[in-house]
Amino acid sequence: MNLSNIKLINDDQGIVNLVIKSKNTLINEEFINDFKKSINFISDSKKIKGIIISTDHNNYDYDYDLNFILSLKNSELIFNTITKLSKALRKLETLGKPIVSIVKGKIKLGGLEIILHSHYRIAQKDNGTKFYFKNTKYSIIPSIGGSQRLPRQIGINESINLYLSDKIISAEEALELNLVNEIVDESQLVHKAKEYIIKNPFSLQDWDNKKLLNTQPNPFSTKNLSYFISKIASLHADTQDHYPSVKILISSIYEGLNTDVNSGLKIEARNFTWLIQHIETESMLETLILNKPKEKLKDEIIDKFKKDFEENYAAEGVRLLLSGVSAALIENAGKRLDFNLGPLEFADKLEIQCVISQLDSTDASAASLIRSMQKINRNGLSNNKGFYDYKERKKNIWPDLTDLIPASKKQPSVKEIESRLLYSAINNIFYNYNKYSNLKNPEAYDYMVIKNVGFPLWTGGAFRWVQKNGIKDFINKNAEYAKTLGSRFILNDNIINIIKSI
Amino acid sequence: MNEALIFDTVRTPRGKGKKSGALNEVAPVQLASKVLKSLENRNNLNTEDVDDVVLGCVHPIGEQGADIARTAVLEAEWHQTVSGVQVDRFCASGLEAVNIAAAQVMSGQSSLSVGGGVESMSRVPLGSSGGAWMTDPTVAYNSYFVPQGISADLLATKYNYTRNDVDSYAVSSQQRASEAWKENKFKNSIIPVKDQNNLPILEVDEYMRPDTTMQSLGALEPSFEKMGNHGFNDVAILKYPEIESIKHVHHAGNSSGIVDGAAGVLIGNKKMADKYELKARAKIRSFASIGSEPTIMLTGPADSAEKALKKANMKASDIDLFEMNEAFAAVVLRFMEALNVDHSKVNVNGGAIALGHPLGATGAIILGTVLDELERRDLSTGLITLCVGAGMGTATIIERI
Repeated sequence: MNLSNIKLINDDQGIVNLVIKSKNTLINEEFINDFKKSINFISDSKKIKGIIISTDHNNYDYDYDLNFILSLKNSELIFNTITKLSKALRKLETLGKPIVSIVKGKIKLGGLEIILHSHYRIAQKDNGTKFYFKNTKYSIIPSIGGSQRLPRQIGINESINLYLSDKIISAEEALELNLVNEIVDESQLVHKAKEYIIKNPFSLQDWDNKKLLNTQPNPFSTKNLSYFISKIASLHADTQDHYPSVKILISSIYEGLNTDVNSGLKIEARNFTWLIQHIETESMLETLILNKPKEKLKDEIIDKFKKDFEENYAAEGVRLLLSGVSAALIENAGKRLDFNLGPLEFADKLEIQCVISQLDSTDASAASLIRSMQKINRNGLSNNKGFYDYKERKKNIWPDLTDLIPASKKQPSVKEIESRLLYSAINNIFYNYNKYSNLKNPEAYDYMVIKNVGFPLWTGGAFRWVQKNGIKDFINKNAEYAKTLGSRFILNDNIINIIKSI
Repeated sequence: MNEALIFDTVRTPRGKGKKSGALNEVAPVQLASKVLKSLENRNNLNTEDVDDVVLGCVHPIGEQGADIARTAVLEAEWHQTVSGVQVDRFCASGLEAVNIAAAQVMSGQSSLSVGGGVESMSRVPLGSSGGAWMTDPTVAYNSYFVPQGISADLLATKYNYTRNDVDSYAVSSQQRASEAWKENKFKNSIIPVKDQNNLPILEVDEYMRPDTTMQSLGALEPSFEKMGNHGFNDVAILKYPEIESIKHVHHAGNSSGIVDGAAGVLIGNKKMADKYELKARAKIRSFASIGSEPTIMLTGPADSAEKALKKANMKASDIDLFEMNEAFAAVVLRFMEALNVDHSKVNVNGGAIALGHPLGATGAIILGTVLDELERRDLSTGLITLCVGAGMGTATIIERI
């Protein structure tokens, strides 16, 4: 059988070699159909006693065809597409016929998910044999069994740690983790695979073996129970209320491992279907992967951008403080947006003097606050005193700050503060885009502000965020801000045109 | 509507909830059946007249599983027609069980019921039943789950209760409990736990530390700081962004004690009072449960008390004595502040900080405590309330007859 993505080669011992042909994307319609056809053929053929899965590519660097997946615009279509492939893999895994994967080169998530369903995995002894994990936070999550099989294979804790990392795992480490079962020289790969097949004419995964079911990881074991409770909190704290992929990953693992693989695969596919349509997922994938710029901005432009961006963020925090918002609320709003630090802590880090350059004639009271603080040597982090007191590893907001600037009795909601900080940051990026850009490519700037400037990743960049959340709302909200807060919220026509064009 | 009359209240002494605790050798079903046996004997009941036994139990797994209420009925050799049901409203389970028993009587569907509870924390440890609330990622994320100790510290932070405030409260709980035992104020309800040979196992609450002082408490490290630093503080602040950082003020000395124990309240209608010539000691005026914000979790008592007061057409000032479960010192401080109630009316014989909190049983225990004290002082009305996991509160108002 020779399909455009897969070729099946029989030998005289009843062993078929399923070869995935050289390509670097997976999970598109054609691949899924070819895979399904191959598996049906293997299933129907009585002559086939065992299967070796390999690739004629140098690497197993199969990735998802994101253009294809994002083009599936309704839940039913996404779910059915994903489950078609995952059901085909499941069928192969449960035939009883031994399946061995030969693993070599660079193995990415798509490749990993394909090989995990095999009963035995043999890695090529080679320094180049490596598993490349990509942090789930950036929206790529396992969808064809990876969230179900990896924890069953190597453990819950170990899987979550790998999926939430950018780790590169060597073949030896993979062997230690039980991710592969054996490492052999290239010349021995096929021989060893056949040896396994001949020795194990009936092969099942541990999770399908009734005698081994009680050895499977259980989320409600004493150890895993406390693991989940604290891991959920630390992940929630780390991602604030953004990056839904992290929640979805740990949820698929938890829910799936409370049941069997068949239900687990459905849970995973439903979760993936939901996640891939989430606005943050789309924004991140579109900016980070699908529109990754080929051109790189000059370092000096990036530096200018970054400096101005950080100073503007700090200054907006000081303005909020002067309007009576409590310092804790301002700082927490900044952190909830996933800026690394709250604006006041940023001011300290840059030296509070930095705020001055951002102020205009309407900000006299802000300037006077900065000067009063400087008079008493509260210059910022450099002398351990600014908006915060810094002591060794501890820090807290300067308790006497409220003597200088009392907080209002009635405080705004944190969402209002987040909105103000986000709009201010976006407007700053747009202003600088007009000022510095010699490269008329908003997508490259989106990539740059995320990667190099410190603009929150989940937004997909300033232009992307506005486009995804509605240009009209953005224009209206800015007009509202401009009325009360001043000219820094007045949008330039050029920017409006650019947003409309992306 | 019938009146739900309280005829009797009994409880075991509370044993330290660890292997070295005196009640560790007693199975929870035995604790519960001793309570039932005692209600039967003290009131000369023909148990065929009891319609139902409702028992609170927060970890109904293992030897507390499989409907411990019915199991206790069988073990107490009550008539086989007596049904049993186990209920879980976390820390208010024991009071909830009383309320359910009262509701059965009020609605005319029962003539005589028992409400009570049991928990052997030394044998079925805290948290052992797990639950989606804390372990299911979707649920825990969406509800901003933090463990109760973090909630207690969050409450103290939000309402500005200092370490000094919570420790002072704890010292007074120990002093009051110690005084109460010296004056034998619990004698009416306490049933000593004995073995099958009638040999004593435990006769007094063994958790108390009457020598507790501000200095001795001052030496204790906060219990929830380390846990908080592993993400839970940040989750709490996500929900309460006005807070800069959580101040960890609670520790083993100002939080409720982990103990074993069981309790029961005999509730019935007028017909049963007449049949057994039982004195109706009090009636249930009203009861209520509410839901409140789940991350801070422990603010429910004031809301549930207000709701029960409203139903009874009463004000907080109409209540003579309060029992507010001392889950954590800050919870009681907040309750007194929210209802504007003086400490002299609240937990006058100490509370769970000194005596311990056997989760499923506590609500029924403190109802008995306040009724005994109302009788001793010849006062009329008592309000019992507990804070409840996942942000709830339950309250019951009783009035002496």
